[in-house]
Amino acid sequence: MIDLHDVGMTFEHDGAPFDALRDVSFSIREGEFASLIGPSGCGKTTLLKIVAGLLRQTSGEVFIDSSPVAGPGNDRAFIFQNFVLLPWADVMTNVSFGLEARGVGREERLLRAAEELARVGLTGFENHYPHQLSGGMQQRVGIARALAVDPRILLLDEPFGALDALTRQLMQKDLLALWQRSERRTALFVTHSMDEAVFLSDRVILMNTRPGRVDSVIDVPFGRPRTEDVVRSQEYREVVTDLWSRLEQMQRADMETRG
Amino acid sequence: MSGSVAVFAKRMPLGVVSLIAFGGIWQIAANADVSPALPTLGAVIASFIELLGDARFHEALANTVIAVVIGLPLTLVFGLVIGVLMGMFRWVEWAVDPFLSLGLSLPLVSVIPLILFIFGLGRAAIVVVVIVYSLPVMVLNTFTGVRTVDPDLVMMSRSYMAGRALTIRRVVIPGASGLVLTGIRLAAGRSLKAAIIAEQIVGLVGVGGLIQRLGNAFAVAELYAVILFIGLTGVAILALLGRVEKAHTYR
Repeated sequence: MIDLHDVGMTFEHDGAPFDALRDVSFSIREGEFASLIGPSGCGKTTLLKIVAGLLRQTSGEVFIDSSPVAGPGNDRAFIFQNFVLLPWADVMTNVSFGLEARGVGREERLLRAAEELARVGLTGFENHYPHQLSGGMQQRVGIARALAVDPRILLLDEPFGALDALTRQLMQKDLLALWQRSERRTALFVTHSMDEAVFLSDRVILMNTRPGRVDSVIDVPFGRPRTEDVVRSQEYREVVTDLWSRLEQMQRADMETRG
Repeated sequence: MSGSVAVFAKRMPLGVVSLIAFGGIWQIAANADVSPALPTLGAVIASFIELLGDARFHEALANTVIAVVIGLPLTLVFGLVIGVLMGMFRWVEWAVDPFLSLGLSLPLVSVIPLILFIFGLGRAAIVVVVIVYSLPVMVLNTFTGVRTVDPDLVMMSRSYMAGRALTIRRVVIPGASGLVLTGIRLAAGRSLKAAIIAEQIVGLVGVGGLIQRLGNAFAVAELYAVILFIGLTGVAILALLGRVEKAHTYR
């Protein structure tokens, strides 16, 4: 469903060209939950924004259901690391922003936003403002805003990166439940937490730096529906340890080439 | 709110003390007959009270207020529209920028004769002076406000394919509102200044005209009374708009 063909992104950096991404190719199946993971600077967020249509790659092509991505679309919704809520608008207005953008009438907007708020457990907070909510609650608003437009593809850019460890774990579990319970939308998830990637994903795409590229793709051997019991299994430990050692090698190699 | 009261209580006594000290020095100097330009405080206050009941003053004040009441809203509307367009379209920015720099740097008194020459000595000319002087700050503040709207919010809006109108209404205007309100405050102060300076040069109408006539007649106490009135009005307007600004500032 999502196909990347030799995607490259070259920035101008201090007058010299700099390859943020080079020849990135992979496919994400319909209904699959895939994670992009890699050391900082590997271009994973850039790649996600290219799939979102927020950035335009300098070479290669991205296809969604065989049609090339030319910009943002109704089929995708983006969830941001720093929530990116309108600080001057209440929760209801924030959640229904995407619907408003699609020209949905006020009454239906409020109805659907209320539904999504219930799904993320924020009923009763409709009239609160973002600054009155905790980080975790703010990201729930961000998730509800994305789900409200009923996208086929969810693009998540380190959605729990700005949260404390405990909230983060809770949000991971809730996201997993939410995603498994509902229509199993296709999800592309950027993170730098290996546990998070393994816990949530069907596949983990490991990226390397300089230039940003795909290093390897790891199949996560756990079925669906998945529960948090997975975390306690021997197999989970092994997958995470394997990821750790691969990332560590990359980091070491990177440090050596940099001197 | 309680914070601002505390700050007020802390500053208030010192402000009062410095005002009283200033008045004391004034009174001593006036009693010592330092200069004919220095009437006693009593004379100024008496003139001030008399001024408040003076029909000529009422007429002059009405003229000035009308010029500001026509000129300021026009300034605000034009300033908002031009500033938003400049912030959203590069080509508008490039087209307007030289005029903006010119408008911000030209001394007002140098252009007033030209405006009087074109628009005559009536109210139209005064209103034009008000607009010419206060429009640049309104445009600059709105433009800067729009330009400094959180780019992440603009990207979010784009990711949901929001149209231009919705982006302006939900993201750009509220995001720029802090600086827009500062622009309104500065424009309000400037419009009052511009009206009085223009009237003074015309010399016939408004508070500015009155100042000119009082000055020519060496009516020093009355002159101070008018200046006191303008000062108090200006401070009141700025305080009021400052309060509105504070109430509309987001964290």
